[in-house]
Amino acid sequence: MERFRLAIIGSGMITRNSHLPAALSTPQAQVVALVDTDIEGARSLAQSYGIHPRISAQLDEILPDIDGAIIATPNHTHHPLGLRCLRAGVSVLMEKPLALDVREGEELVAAAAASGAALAVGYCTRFRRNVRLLKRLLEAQHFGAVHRFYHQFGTRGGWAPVSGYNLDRKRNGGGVLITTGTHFIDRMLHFWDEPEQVELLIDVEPGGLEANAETRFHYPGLGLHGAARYSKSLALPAGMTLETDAGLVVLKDYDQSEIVLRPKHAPTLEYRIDERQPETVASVFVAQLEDFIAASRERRAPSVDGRQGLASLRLLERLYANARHDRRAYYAETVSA
Amino acid sequence: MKIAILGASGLVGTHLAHRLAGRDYALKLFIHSSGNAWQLAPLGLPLHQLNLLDRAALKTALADCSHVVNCTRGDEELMLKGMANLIEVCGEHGGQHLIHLSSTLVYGDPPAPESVSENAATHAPPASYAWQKLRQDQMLMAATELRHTILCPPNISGVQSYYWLQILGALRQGEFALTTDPRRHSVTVDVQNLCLAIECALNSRSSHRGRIYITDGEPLSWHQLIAGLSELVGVDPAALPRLPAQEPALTDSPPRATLWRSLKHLASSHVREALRKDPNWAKLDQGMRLCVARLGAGTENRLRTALEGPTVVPRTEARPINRTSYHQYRAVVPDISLAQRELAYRPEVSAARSLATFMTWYRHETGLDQDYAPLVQALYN
Repeated sequence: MERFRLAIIGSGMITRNSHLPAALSTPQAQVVALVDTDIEGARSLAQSYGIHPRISAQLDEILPDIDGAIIATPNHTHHPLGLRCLRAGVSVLMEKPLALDVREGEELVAAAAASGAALAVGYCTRFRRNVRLLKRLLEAQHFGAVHRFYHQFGTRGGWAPVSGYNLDRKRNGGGVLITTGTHFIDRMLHFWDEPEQVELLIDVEPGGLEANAETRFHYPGLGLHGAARYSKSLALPAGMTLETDAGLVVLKDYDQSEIVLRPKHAPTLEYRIDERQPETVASVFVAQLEDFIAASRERRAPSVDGRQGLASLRLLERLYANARHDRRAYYAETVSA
Repeated sequence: MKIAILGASGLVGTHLAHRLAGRDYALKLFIHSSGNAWQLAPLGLPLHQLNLLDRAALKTALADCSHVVNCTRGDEELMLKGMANLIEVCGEHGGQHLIHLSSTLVYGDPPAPESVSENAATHAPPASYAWQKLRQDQMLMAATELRHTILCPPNISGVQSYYWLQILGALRQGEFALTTDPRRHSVTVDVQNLCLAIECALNSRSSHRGRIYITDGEPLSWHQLIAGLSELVGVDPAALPRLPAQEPALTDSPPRATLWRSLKHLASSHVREALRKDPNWAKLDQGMRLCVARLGAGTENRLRTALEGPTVVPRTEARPINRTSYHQYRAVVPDISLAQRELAYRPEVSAARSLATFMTWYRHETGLDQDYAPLVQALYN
């Protein structure tokens, strides 16, 4: 079978560290083009990996010669770039989030449906072995009922795109909830579908760029409530806990972390849960890319498709529509105390 | 007055920017990268990316500023060359007032008793952070034409304090050893107090050219501090390991550079292992090993010991001790009367209030004050 002719649009950090190595490591794909308005940056990236794809600042020039494209550009460019690819029948693996808002997301999904091209969204944590296993365990009610869940991820500093668009709400689509929270929101939807009620507390006025966000999710029909916390000012060890009939389930947010159960009847013990014969999984980026290529070739929906990306956008819009300013003036509080 | 804040996305820079913006000062904020600048975005001010090593860009950037506050920190090149550029540029602009943050570490760690006053002799190990700060101070003091103020704080406490977060991490790991002496003081400055001191310096006409200590005034004891921080992480201070009576000799200080040490390093097993990846070096290495083997096992062993040193078996300890524990040997409480005279500095936040505020902030920002606290706690264990 001929190799999938892949273009990568955007030569920033996620391409350099994740998408390009994944594309080079799978025999299914050939990187035939790098597209970026920063031609020198794209050229330098190609050189550093010893490859010779076409380098262009013009997407339209390369569309006729590719089967699919990874779009790894600032969030506000996802919609225009995605539309051009999909309308030309080129399958798209879109870095998350799918688009800036629901309207843009719907247009992308519609364009994919119209042309038959595949539209995948880069929620790569879905390809973690531990996430797939947890999903199976939850579906089988292995832990009994789940009563509460909690997720957090915080870093001080970290990701700093060259354009600085992360600090521009109009270009990013939101604050830390978009930058850091969307992977978990996607997983939460995957585990439990849409919550009935949502709440969001942020450290700025609604409409501003939040550096800290606390969310609440309520599934009264399932007897399930959850919370999540994201920070760009404080390091919070990344992971999820579930309070279940069987005890506390902990899954730290790393590709290789184990699902841990701290049983109710013996809280000082810890059971580590894995398959007896665990499958060998390449990196999540390789798994994601191969799934995308297969979906494009077989003209079916990828595992994380545009519809699911759209569900995430809808939930994010609901959250921001329900945002309240968490007005904490810590020094003033301790004076009055 | 137009104030440039260099390093605006750091702990002090962020707090200072918010404080001064709230008081309607005209500000120009400079950052190194956007990754850490999230809390500046709500100010609605442009964030200028600037590298102190780019002298031309620095000159242009500061041309319209009357005051410059240097809150930057980085590697040695940034600290020294960057400082040199900053002094030159501010000197060329003429009339600018440069406010610089030094560190009490320049007086040694632990500091000598006479370091209660800023006039004490300095003592900073070469190539250390303290040495870099000392060099910065010396460069600035030598710039006689440049109006400047050198504020000299200890470790910074209060909301978002990296220092207290570091101690929290050590407590959580069981790696903080507590002194048995309840009189030992933890000398810190709350970030709001430091920002107040900077504001005082901005508005001061003081021409003092040396360092000026800035602290919270009356410090907490280490026992008080650890009692509070231990509560946050669910640790019993009584169960903490005890600090040795004397500070152990440093085992991880950089070795002295000698020619013999350098030659030994070239012949060491891990260097040769790396060289063996090349086929030519691999052949040479194999030849050398055969020659040495012919000298006999005894000679081979003596040569190996001379190059690699004897096999060292580390003593098994219950837990390593985090280096922040050794800060308890710092017995000097700096006198801030110079700051009071020269800058009219009066701390707004007592050390006790600084701790209480930090604890409230930490509990809230981690979710430990929420109903789902047990689920949060599980991620730290």
